[in-house]
Amino acid sequence: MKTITSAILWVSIYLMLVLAPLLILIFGEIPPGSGFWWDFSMALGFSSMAIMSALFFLTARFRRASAPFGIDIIYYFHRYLALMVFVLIILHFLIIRISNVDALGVINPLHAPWYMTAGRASLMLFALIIITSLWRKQLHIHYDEWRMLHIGLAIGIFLLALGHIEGAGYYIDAPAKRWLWSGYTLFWLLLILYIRLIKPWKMSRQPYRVVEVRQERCHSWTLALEPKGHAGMHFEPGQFVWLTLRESPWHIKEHPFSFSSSATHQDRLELTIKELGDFTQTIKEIQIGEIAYLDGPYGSFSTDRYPEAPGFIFIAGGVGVGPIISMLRTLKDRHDNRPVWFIYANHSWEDVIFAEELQALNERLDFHLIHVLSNPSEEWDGEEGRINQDLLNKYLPTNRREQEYFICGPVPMRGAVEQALHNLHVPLKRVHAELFDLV
Amino acid sequence: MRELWARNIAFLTGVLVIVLAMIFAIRQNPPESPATMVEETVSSSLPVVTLSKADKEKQALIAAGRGIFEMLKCMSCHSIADKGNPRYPLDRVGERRTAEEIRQWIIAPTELKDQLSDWVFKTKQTYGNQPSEDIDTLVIYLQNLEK
Repeated sequence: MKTITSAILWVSIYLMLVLAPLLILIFGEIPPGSGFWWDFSMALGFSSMAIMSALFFLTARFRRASAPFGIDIIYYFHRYLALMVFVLIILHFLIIRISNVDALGVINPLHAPWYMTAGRASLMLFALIIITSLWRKQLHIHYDEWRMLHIGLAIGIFLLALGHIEGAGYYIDAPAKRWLWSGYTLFWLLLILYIRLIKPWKMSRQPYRVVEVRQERCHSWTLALEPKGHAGMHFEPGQFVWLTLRESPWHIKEHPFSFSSSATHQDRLELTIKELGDFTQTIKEIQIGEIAYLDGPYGSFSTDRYPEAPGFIFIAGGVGVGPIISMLRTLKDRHDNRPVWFIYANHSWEDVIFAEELQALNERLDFHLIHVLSNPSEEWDGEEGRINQDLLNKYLPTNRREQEYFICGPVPMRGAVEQALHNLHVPLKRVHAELFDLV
Repeated sequence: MRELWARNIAFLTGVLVIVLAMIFAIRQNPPESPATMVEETVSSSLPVVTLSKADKEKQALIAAGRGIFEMLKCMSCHSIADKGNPRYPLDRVGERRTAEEIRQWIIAPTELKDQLSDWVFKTKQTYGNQPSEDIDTLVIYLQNLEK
C-alpha cells in the first residue's frame, strides 16, 4: 500500500512538472491571440521543453523516486517519453510549416535568425539521439561511447531548444513566466551538478575492494567485493547496481549488474557477469585488491516486495539466473519455508550456471528445480526444448494464480513466458520481469 | 505489466499536453461574434494591399517597398494579411503609427533598446545600414497597408 501511495505521489509530481507551463499559460494572463494553429503549435513546443526537463530527471537515478517502480522501468519510460516529445516537437514544427510557412523564414543559417537555426538544430539532434539510442547495436556504437554521445546530444538539444524559446520570446515576456523558465533552467543545472559532481563524489567516498574473481560456467565470472572503510550496502535480493571498475566515478563509465549474493551479507557483495561485450570480457583480468565503485541499489525485482506471497516461481534463461540466485540464496539464509519453483532454461548442461549449488538447495528449501535444455546431450532425461505453456502447465502448482512470478532472461523468452502465463490465467500483476539491455 | 503502465503514462502525457495546448489555443482565440465575422468576411475579400487615392508613381513605390519587406525577411517576425509570423501583425499599422514612428521601429534607435529584446534590437539596428531611400520606400509600403 505504501508503495502504491508513493507511486501515485511521484506520478502526480511528474505530471505537475510537465504540465505546469501549460496550466500557467491557460490560467495566467492572456496575451493577444495569434490564431488557433499558431498558438496550438507554440503551446506544444513550450510544453515539449518542460517534458525534456523531466527526461533528465528520470535518468538522474533518484532512489527514492524510482523505488516504487524500479529503475529499469524508469529507463523504459524515459525512452517512450522521449519518443512522445519528439512527436510533439515534430507537430510543433509541421503545424507552422503547413499553416504559416513564411514565419519559418529561410533555412540557410547565414541568413536565418539564430533562434530559428537553434530550433532546427535541436530538432535534428533530437532525431539523431533517437536513432543512436534505438539502434545502437545495429550501428555498432560502443556502450561507453554511446553514453558520452547521449549526454552530449541531450545537453545540446536542451540548450538549443532553450535558445530557440528565449530568442522567439513568445510567452516568456511576462515576469511570472520568465521566472518559470528561469526555474526550469536552474532545476536542470542543479540536476547536472548533482549527476556529474555530487553523486560521483558520494560514490568516491564509499569504495569497494575486489576480493575474489571466480570463474563460473558458460564464460561467466563472479566478482566479489568488500566495502573499504564503510559498512557496505543494504540491498533487496534481485536488485542491481551500476559498477565502475578501473575508472574514477567521475568518468561515467559504469555498467549495470544484478547482485548474485545473498542480501543477508551486506559486507560481501557478489555480481555474476557473463562475457558478452567489451567491458564484460575484461572481468576475468581484474586483480584482487582493485578498487570498484557502486551506485545503487536499484530495482523492484525482488521477493522482498511480496512478503505475503504463499510461494515463489522463478523462470530464467542463461545468465538471467543472476538476480534469481540472489533471491534463492537469501530465502535459504533466512530459512524461508515457503515453496519455491525454479524453471531454468539453457542450451546445454555445460551452460547451466550454479548447477551444483542449485541441486544442493533441495536440502535447505522447499525447492522444485526444473532444468530445460534446448540442445541437450543424448544422456539427458530431463525437459527438452523451450519453456512453453505445456511445460508451465505441467509443473506449476494448482494454486498458481496466487504465486508471485519472477522472470529474467532474453526478451523473446520473457515475452513467450508472459504470454503463456496469461493463457494459464495467471494475473499479470503477479508476473514480474527484469528489463535489462535497454539500449 | 509495468511496461504497459510506462507506455500508458507516456501516452497519457502526450494526450494531456495536446488537449491542454488545444484548450490554450481556443482560449487565446475565442470564436468570433457573427457581426465581426461578417465584417472580416467583407474585409478579407479586399486585396491584401490596396492603394487608397494613390497615383501610379506611389503604386510603384509601394510595390518596391513590398520587395524590400520580403528581402529583409520581415515575415519571420511580422505578418500581413495572415501571412508571416502572426505574433506581431502589421495590418493597418499606418493608422496607428506615423511615418516617422514606423521608421524608428524599423531601425531601432537607442531610445527603443529597453522596449525590445537584445536580439531584436540588434537585428533592427542592422536595418539602419540599408540605404535611407530603401527605408523610406519600406515606410511608404507599411503606411499603405490594409487587410
